[in-house]
Amino acid sequence: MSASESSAPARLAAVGLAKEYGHVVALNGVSVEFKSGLTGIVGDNGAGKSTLMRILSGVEVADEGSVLVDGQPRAFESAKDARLAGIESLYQDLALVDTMSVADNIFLGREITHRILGVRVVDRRRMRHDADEVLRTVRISMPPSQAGVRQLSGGQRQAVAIARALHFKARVLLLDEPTAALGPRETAAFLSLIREVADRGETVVMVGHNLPQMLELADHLLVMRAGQVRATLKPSETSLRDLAELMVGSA
Amino acid sequence: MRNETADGSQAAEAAGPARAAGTSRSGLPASITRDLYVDLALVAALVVLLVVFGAASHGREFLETNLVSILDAGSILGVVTIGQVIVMISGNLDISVGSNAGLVTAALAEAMAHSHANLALGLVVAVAVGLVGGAVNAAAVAYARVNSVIATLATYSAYLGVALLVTNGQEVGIDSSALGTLGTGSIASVPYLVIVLIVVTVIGMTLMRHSLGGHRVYAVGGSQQASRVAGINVQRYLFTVFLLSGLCAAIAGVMLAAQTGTAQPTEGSVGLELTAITAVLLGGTGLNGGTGTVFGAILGVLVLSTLDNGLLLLGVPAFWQEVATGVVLMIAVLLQDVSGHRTRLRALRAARRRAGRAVGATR
Repeated sequence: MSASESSAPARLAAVGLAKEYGHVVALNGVSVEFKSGLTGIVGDNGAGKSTLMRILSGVEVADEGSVLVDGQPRAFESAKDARLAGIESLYQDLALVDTMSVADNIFLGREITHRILGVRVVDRRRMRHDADEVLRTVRISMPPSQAGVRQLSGGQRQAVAIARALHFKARVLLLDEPTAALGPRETAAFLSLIREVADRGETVVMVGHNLPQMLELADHLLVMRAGQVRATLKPSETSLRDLAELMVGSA
Repeated sequence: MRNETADGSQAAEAAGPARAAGTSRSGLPASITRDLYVDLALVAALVVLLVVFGAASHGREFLETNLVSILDAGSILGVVTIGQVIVMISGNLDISVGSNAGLVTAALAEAMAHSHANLALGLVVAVAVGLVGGAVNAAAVAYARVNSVIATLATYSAYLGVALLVTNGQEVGIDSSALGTLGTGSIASVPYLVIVLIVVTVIGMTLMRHSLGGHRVYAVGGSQQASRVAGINVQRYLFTVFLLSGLCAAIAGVMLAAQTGTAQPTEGSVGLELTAITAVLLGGTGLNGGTGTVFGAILGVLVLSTLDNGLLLLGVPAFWQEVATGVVLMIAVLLQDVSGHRTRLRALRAARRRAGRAVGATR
């Protein structure tokens, strides 16, 4: 995969992204290519990490610059547009409907239906079947897909979102501090799942605060500061100290 | 049951074959079993009410003559309640349904009075008025993003005012034998109004339970944010829901005109909204949206209607009926709350247990 991948344009890239909120410059000309595997984004608070993720996931629109998918510029006006382009985002706690089942959540917005007398009828049995199938590939122990999402733990909730991405064969997975709400054991389980997805050659982009964890986990590291990408690093050649210095700007 | 753990024998060993949380012993999702529990409780309450009232009055005679009149008396409330339960599943309230129905009745009567009793025209006007009433609420909630309680409280007052204006606050007679037949006639001793209720109920149940639209109303009611992120056009569903409520108000308005043979802008319609909300709450639908069923709401209507009918039959003063309604609602909501609490607690404990196992499954 690496030979063909390297010559092909990156699945996801950004060119000259800029975004201001009032007088605050959140992004100031960010250009970056996300290679396959896991790219970690680190940076101090206000460095522009979340703004970048929000633009990539279609939740916000950049003032300037563009997002490229497979080398083609795409104008995302909503999260739906990004999702249609194969970019799946994991939001902290926003993206699941607590009152619905795991299967319903995996298929939310993309329900399996058939027509009866012109009315689109939801095929719950098939959704449950397909959901159970994809949940088996997620390495976190899950209840059957007809269980309510309300009863899941934080890690299981994230696993539902991952299952959703896997089922719909998302090409890019965006994670903004996905383990912030998880306990240590669930974090470990979740990260090994993410690592597995990245090892399959998917493009995973993850914002995180835990620097040692990011050094250990990521294939590529991006350091952001003051709305710009300050460095692109290989974790294997980077020390924790270098990373911290790049983040605060003393290097 | 299939083993629901992650792949690999190692994982299965670590997680064990334990029953997953969130499912009951029967293997059904907790939400469904809870709906079932509420429905069964309501059916039980209905049976108890019927037996008590039957025994206290004239036994068999009560059941024969009153089952039909219970349904008949509940038919208009029932239709309004179908609209209300859909609105409440979407996480909103429609306070205006009663006065909208009253306005529909007034518009129907006026249209017929000015067209030599043209019933077809009257019906078209009636449906149009109900839909416009619903659309105003819909636009306010879905697009102007006004809180639905405030928006429909405003239109509640406005529609009532317009109904009084149109009729000068007077009763308007409706000269139509066809409409009269709808109001008082029956097929095989089943009143037409009850048939209308049954048809609307079946359509409402089918749509909410099986259609994509109904499914997404549950989603929007459960979490607007999650629905939006998933690419669901939240505003469109909110709009449709209030439009449907307007349509139900239109149907109820026509039924009211048919039943009374006159259009009274307030009598029989004002107050309907609160009774409908009561019925929906009795039926296990919460105020937060995303839960509840059309069937439960109709059971709620039947309980209220039976209560009214039975107390009336026993000669209990009407004022006490209101008290009884309040007491029943209070008891029902308390019972549902207790069962909901238990389910949540059980789920929480199981989730904690599983969280412990999850790591074992991956290491």
